[in-house]
Amino acid sequence: MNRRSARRDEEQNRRRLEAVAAAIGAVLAIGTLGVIIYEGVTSSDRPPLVELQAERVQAFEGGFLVEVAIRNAGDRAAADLTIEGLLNRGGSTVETSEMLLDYLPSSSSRRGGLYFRNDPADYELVLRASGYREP
Amino acid sequence: MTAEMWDLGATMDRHRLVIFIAGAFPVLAGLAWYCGFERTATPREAVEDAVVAFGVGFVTSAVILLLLDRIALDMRVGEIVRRIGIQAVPAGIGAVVARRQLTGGEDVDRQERASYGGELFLMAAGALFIAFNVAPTEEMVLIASTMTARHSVGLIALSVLMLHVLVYQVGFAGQEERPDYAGFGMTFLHFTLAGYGIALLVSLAVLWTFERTVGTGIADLATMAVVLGFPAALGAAVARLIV
Repeated sequence: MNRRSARRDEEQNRRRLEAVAAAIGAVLAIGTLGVIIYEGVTSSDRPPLVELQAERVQAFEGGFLVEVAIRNAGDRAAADLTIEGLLNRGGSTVETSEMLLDYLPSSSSRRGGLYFRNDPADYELVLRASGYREP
Repeated sequence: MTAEMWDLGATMDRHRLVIFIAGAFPVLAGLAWYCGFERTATPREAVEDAVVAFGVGFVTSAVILLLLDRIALDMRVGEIVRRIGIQAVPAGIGAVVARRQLTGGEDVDRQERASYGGELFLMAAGALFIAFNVAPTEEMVLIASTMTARHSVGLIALSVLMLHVLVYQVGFAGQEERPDYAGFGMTFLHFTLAGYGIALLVSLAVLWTFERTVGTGIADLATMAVVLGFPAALGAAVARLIV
C-alpha cells in the first residue's frame, strides 16, 4: 500500500467516524426534545395527586419505622410535600409523625419513612399528604 | 451540578426547557465556528460539530448523573431525559471549548475570523456558560433580596471595571490588542459597555429560563440581573481571552 492510499484511508475513516458521531448526537438531541414535547402534549396538566402506601413496618429500640412509598399520579411536580402518618384508635389519634419531601416530580415515586413510638400493628395507621408548594 | 440544576431538569416548565435546549444549538454552532474542536471549514460543519458536541455532552452527563445516583433506572423515562438534557447543554459547551482550553493553540485563521460581531457573540457565550452555572441556585434570589440600590450601583461599577481591566489592561495570553484607531473612550463604549450589556441580557435570559422571573417585581428582577451580571461579565471577559 503506498502512502497516498494510506492517507486516503485515514481520511475516509475520519469522515465515517464524524458521520457516526453526528448521527448519534442528532438522535440524542431530537430524542431529548421529542420526549419532553411528547410528555407535555400527552399530559393533561393535573395538579400533584399523591398516593401513599405503607410498605413495611420495622421494630427497633426506639420504636417502630413505617416505610412509605409516595407516588405522584398527577402531571405537575410538588415541592416541600408534607406527609403525615396517624395512629388512630376508636376515633381518636394516639400519635402522629410527619416527613417532608423536597421534590416529587410528576408520575414519579419516592420512598420515605415515618417513626412511631407505638406499634402501628395495634392501631389504625392513616397516611395522608397534607400540603405542597409549586416548585 | 447543583441540587437546583437536576431538580430543575425534572420540574421545569416544558416550553422553557425546549426553548433552552433548542436555543443551545446556535450557541454551540457559533462556538464551533470560532473555536471548535476540529477544523471547521464550512457553516455546515459547524452545525455538525454542534450536534456532536451535544451528543458528547449528553453521554458524559448521563454517565456522571448515573454514577452520582442523580438518575436511577426506576425513574420515569421523561424525568431521566429531562435531567440529562438540561445538563448536556453546559457539558456540550465545555466539549466545544475544551480543545482550545487544553491545547492553548494559537489559531491565526480563527483569530481573524472573530470580527466585532463575532467577539460580541463570544462574550455572550462566555457569559452564558458562567451565568448558567450560578443562575439556578437559591443564593441569587437570596443575595438580590437584601441588596439596596447603593449595593447594586456599587456592584455594577465593579462589574464594568473588572470587565474593562480583564480584557484590556492585564497581560493575559490571547489578550486583545487595542485597535489603533480607538482611544480609551471608544474602547470603553465598543467593548466594555457592550460586553456588560450582553452580560445583563444573558443574565435576564438565564433567569427567565430557570423561572426566577415568575412573579418577581421589576426592581427585584433588575437587582437579580445585576447580581448574576457580575459572574456573567467575568465569563464574557474570559471568553475573549480564551478564544
